[in-house]
Amino acid sequence: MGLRPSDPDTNEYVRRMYAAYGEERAEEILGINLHHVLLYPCNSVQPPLQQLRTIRPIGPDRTLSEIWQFRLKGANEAIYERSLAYYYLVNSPSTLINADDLFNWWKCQHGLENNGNDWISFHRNAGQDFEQDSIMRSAPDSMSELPLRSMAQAWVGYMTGNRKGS
Amino acid sequence: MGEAAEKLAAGDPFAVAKVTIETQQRVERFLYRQAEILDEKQWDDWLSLFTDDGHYWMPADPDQTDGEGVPNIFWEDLNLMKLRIRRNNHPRAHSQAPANRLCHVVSNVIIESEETSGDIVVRSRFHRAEYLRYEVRSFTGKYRHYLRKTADDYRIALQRVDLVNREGPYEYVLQWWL
Repeated sequence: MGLRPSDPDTNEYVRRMYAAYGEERAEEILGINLHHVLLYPCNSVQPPLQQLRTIRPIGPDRTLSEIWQFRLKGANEAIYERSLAYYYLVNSPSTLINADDLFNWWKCQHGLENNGNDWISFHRNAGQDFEQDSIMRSAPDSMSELPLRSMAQAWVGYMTGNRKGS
Repeated sequence: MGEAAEKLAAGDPFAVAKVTIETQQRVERFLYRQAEILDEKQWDDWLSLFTDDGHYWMPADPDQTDGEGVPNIFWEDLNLMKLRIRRNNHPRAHSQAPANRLCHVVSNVIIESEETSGDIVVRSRFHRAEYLRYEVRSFTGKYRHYLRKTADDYRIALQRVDLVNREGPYEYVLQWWL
C-alpha cells in the first residue's frame, strides 16, 4: 500500500478496480506485488508491467526471447501507455535496458561453445539458503543463485529421468 | 493521432509529385546527410534533424497508421533519443565496447507531395550494414519522411521506418536507429 503512487492515473485505476471488485477484493489484488514470476521452465511474467516474456530454446546455440504485451480490460488508457513506456525501455527490440543483459547472454553462449571449462558456476551462497514451510528461500541479504541452482537441478532431473535431479 | 502521423496516413504511398530538380536535390541531400550523421555518430546533429515534437517511428506491423498507443519497435521523441545517445555512449555500456560501426545507403528517393509551405512527404529505400562482434548484419527497408520546411533546410516531423523483417527475430537488439 505504502508504495502505491498517488498520481491521478493510478488513482483512476484504483477507483475502477474498486468499482469492479469491491474495495476488499481490489485491495487484495493490488496488494500482491510480484515484480517477476518464473513459470518453469521458460515463461517469465511481470504482472505490474503487463508483460509476459517467453524464452524459447531452439537449438544448442539458438534461443528466442519473445515479449507479449497486454492491455488490461477495463483499465484506463494511461495504464497501458505506462506499460508501453516500460516496454520500450526494458524489453522491446530497441531496448535500452536489456541491451547489456542480452549481451551477457550472448557472452555466456559464446563461452559455453569453447572447451576451456567443463563447469558452469552457480555457487553463490550455496549451502546458506534455508527451507521454510517446504519452500527453499535464498540466504538473507544475499545475491544467492538459488533459483539458478534449482533450474539446473530440475533440468538435470528431466534429462536423466531422475525427478529429484542429482 | 498527431498531425504528422495523420499526414503520412492520409498520403498516397505511391504518389509521385512533380517537383523542381532543386527540391529533389535538397530533399535527397537531407536524406543522405541524415544517413551520414548516423554512420558517423554525430549525435548533436542527429537531434537537430528533428522538429521539437518530431518522432522516429518503426512500426511492428505494416498496417499501423499511428505510433501512439500500440507497441512498436521504435517510437521515440527527442527525450528518448537523448536517453539512447547517453546510454549507448556510457563508458559502462559494455555491449557498446567496442562500439558497432554503421554504414547506410539510401536510394530510390521519390517525393510524394510538396505543400505550398514547402513541407514534403518523401519515400525512399535504405540498406544498412552494422559491424558488431566479428559479424556484419544487414537491415533493409523503406523510409517515409514527413519533412517540415525551415528557413534554409528541412526538419523531420515524422520518420517512418518499415523493415522488411519487421516481425522476424533479430540476432540482437537494435541499439541505434536504422
